[in-house]
Amino acid sequence: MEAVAALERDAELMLRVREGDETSFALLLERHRRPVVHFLYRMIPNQAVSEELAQEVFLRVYRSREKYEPTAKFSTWLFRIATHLALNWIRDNKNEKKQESLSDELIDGAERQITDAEPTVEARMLRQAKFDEVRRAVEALPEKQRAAVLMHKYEGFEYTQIARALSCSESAVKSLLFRAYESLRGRLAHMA
Amino acid sequence: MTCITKNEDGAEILLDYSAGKLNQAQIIQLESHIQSCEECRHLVEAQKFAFEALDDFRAPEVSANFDRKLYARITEEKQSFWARWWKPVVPIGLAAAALSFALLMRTPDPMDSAPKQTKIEKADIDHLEQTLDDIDMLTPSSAM
Repeated sequence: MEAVAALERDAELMLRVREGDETSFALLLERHRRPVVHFLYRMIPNQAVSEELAQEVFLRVYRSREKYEPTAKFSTWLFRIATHLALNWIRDNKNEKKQESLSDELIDGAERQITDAEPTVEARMLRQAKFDEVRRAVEALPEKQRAAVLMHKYEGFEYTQIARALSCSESAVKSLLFRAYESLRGRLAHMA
Repeated sequence: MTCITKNEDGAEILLDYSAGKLNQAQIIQLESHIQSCEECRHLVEAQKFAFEALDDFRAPEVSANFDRKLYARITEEKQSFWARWWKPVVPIGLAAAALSFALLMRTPDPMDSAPKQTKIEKADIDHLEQTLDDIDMLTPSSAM
């Protein structure tokens, strides 16, 4: 019930943005900023890039505000834009070897933020190791499988939502997810 | 319930179970099955483990200046729209207005020429009469 109400509020807010209400845009940003940035970070583990792409997502939402029609859930539309930008970025930067070293540099910074919260050095090292392992396992997934898993796991999207975000069929999404989790089970089994 | 690997909906059941999306009846059915099926039990445990391990892939917090940068981009885009479409129009409009004004100022009024012409003719006639009077004074017959 709560989720449905939240979705309706999103559409309502976006309709107000369409009428020129900038405060409603700020509210939508407040609500969706973190999930979008985190999704993009897990797609492309580079904090600077993921935040820049996330800004591009919201910029595109703002740009197309006058044409907005609530035909799909707002979050689905948002993640469709985010997925599209992420896949394009990955495609365009696939061959850049430099990117890998930059990525590592910025991952370290992000990791420090995540692991610093641990009380002991040992706990921090353990968290760091787990983080590395899981990050590598996710990064090893083909991009569409990666996107599907991230939306399924972290956003709790239904198959239909993921299908709309990825512009494919529901059965294709199920196939992507099954293969993705199969890979993840294989790569992470030794951590059990 | 048949084994997950032999069930055409098995993959979906597995995913939905790990994501907590099965209804109560389905959960009971699956958990009952895996108690007696080692293969399915291992698969479900492995899936559950992988799904939960993803929690360790935490993303950093969003930068404090994220919103400021976004709004700066929005403002920049609005300004560049202004520069692209409206800026050239304003000086062109002003130039056109200035030209029209200049043309209006330079064009002479046809009504102004008539009085000037009359004044000149009158001046010429007076001058002529004066000259004739002077000549009269200078002729010998008038001096006598």
